Amino acid sequence: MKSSGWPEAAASLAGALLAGFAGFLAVAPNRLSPASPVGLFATGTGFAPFIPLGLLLVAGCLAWRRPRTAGAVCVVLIWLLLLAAGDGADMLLRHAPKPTRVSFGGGFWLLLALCALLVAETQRLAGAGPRLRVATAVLVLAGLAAIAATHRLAGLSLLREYATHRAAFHAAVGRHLLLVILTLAGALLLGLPLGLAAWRYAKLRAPIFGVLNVVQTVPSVALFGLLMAPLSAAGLGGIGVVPAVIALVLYALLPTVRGLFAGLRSVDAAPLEAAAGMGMSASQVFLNVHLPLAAPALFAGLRVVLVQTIGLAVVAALIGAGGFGEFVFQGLGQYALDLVLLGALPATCLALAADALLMLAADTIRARVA
Amino acid sequence: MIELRHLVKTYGDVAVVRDVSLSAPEAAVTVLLGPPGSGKSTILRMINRLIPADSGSVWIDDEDTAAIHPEALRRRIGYVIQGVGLFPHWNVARNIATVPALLGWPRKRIAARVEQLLDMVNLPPDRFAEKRPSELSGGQAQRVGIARALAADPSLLLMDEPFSALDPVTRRDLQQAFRRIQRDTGKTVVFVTHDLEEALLLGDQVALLRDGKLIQHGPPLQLLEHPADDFVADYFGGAAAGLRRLTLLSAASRAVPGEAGGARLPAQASLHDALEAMLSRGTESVALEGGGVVTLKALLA
Amino acid sequence: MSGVVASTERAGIAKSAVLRRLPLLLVGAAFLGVLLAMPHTGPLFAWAFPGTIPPVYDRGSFVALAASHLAIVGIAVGAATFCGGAAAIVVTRSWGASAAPPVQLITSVGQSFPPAAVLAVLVPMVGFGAVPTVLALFAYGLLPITENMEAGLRAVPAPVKEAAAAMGFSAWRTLLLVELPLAWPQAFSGILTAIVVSLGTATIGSTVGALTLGTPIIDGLVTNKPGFVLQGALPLAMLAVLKELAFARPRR
Repeated sequence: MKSSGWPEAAASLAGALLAGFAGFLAVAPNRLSPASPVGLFATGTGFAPFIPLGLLLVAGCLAWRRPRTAGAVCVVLIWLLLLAAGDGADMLLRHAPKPTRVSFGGGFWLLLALCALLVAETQRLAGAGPRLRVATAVLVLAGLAAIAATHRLAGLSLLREYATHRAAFHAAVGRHLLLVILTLAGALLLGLPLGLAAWRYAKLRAPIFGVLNVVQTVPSVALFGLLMAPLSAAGLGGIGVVPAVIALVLYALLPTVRGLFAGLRSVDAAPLEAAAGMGMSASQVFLNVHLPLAAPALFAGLRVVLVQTIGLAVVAALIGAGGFGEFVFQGLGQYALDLVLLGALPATCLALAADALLMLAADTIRARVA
Repeated sequence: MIELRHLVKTYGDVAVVRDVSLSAPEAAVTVLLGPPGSGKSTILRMINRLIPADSGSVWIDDEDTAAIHPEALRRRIGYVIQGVGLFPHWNVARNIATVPALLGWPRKRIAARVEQLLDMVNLPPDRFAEKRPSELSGGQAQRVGIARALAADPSLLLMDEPFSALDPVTRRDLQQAFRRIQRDTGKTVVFVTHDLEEALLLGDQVALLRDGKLIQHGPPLQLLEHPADDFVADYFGGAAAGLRRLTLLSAASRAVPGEAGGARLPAQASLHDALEAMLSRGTESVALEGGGVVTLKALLA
Repeated sequence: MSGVVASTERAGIAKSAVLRRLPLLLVGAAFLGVLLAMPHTGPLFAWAFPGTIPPVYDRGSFVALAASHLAIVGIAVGAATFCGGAAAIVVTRSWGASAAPPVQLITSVGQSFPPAAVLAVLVPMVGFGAVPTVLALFAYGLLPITENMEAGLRAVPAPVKEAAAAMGFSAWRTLLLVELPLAWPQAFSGILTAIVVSLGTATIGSTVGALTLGTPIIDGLVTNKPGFVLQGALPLAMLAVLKELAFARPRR
């Protein structure tokens, strides 16, 4: 589809205005008190003028059909936003009492989201391939990591929460990944045979999908709750990793089974007949021809499984499974909102990363098969 | 040689193949011809046991195929279908190597064989071996399909409407290429088609089927000149039968000594070709390569 | 004579429609029954989980929780239908085609955000309660609604639109009288998808203080009262079955 880029240019202009007026940071007298917004220029950071100017530059580049330049400016803008937030926090804290906390404000999030969207959109306008997209994402993240490593962000409340919860945070990363890996393994172990059965035996199809559909629509909070009683009766304990993984696997089954089933069904009859006609055994036809051709759909299903599991594992903290959700609910309970962020932010990043990586993998496989 | 003895296949109440007996001679092309639903494809699939017969048997070189393990049997028989059925996730070379790999040939022998086959079907190996099926045209894909069927050098080749989905020019091309390959390799071929022209062009023997029954079987000229019933006569074109007959008779058989102007026709040209040349040139005689001329008078005789 | 045949036929059709809907009606009635009966199950839960005081969640009636749950979903899906529908109309106009990719990016990128994380992050901006839940459900509902509405509008055959224009319809009239009615079935299936997803996701809203059927569960988990968890989970599970029975077809 031919695209002129005017919506992106207009968004950049709106962003430039937003940068001047919205609360960029939020200052609170202590960790648990409500915060009041502080505008970008009011923070006193020297980076402030570059942000609206950068956005104007992006709008100009888009108006003159220079999406590559616009994209490069957007990448730099993302780094600038973080530098401005860190520097602004330092400026605000300079003469403030010690318990004062500075957090990201609504304006910061909106500008960050805008710049990230503009990076994606300028790449599309420039016709960038998947490799360039991945390289850009890695570049942006590497820059963010480098900025964080220089302690320029240490003044921000989020980083101070991290400093106090460092050990627990690292444990949460490990636990969250463990939940996801165990769930994926369980989903494959149970889902692949079920998908195969649904494809092979038409009579099993309706019951399998009916049950999995209902399971999928039971809200996570309710399923975790429903599993508590029978599991504790079975001696497995109603709380912790085991019930969490059981519930997560139950949710993961539908996309796994559906992915395999849809993949197997989508395969054209001609290669299968040719394979049988050339003397492949039934299992050779399945493994050499049918399964590889079904792989793209299966991968699309696994992508849903990963993204969904990373998100639901946050909720699993409610039944004591640990992971990033622990910070989220602990923070909500104390009204310590930067602690909430310490859990919510990495969970979101993990989900987005998994989503992007599996989409790339599925595209690669599809290109090989099509 | 392949012999079909009293083959029967019924789906529910519908008899698809009714007591068909037929023998396909060695090193010749036997065409199973008939309208859609006449059972010709079912018969073909009963030969390599993709479809089990209800009763009757198939004998290949005096061996009952029922006694051979179906997978072993299929590896000895080349199989080409209308949709080609190339494996989209493998490149051309690996597609062709399928059966040799199943048979456990050494790698070097497979590579050499793939190259030889690509040459045979006129696809230069250096350009085509690494291509994916999605990068091939319909005609190229079917050439690969034929090469793949010939990979393990089977003595028997089954072909199910292999050229039906192609455009007329490509189809004509492939029919000629196939005929050449068949003559060079001396394969026994059973060929299914609903296209009369194709049957006359390629078949040494034609078996006409209707509603699962074998109506008439013999050399194409015999069916054309002595149709067993009205259905055969009708199928073979009624009024156009005379022209069709000319395609089956070689020009050399009516040649007389003499000279004529214009380009010479190839030695294996048919009388149909000769008539066409006379019509387009406005002459009453054409010369053949290797001497002799065909005159209009001789043609009409 | 033919009138009699027609009327008996009609009766037959009506009867089979009721029969087909029977499971839905039964589960629906059972769902309402459970909601109404829950406050009177004190002795049962006191026996099953002795020592819990009170034995049954009592900070609000279950009917009120269900009503609040439905209201949150209704407002969010309503708003998403309005905005998503408007966006779909814009991107299917010739002058709005450039907006199609960014709209698709914005509506789809949110889908991979974990709902619990989104809700938690919204709290510092809009506070606790129903508002962050409505906002999150709105964001999740945008994709199915916009996508289906757009697909529905794009599927309207060009000759039909041309004919409308040839008969003197203005662009506005064509949209209102031709395009929207033809796109409606597909758009509606998108709205149903949004409703089904929202009914489940709304439950997580209880963690940020929204009143939903998930509230007793969260309360029970936080204060360690397994009875509360069960009292919340039971109607929610029934609601899931209800959704499946009511909306199963358009979701496939």
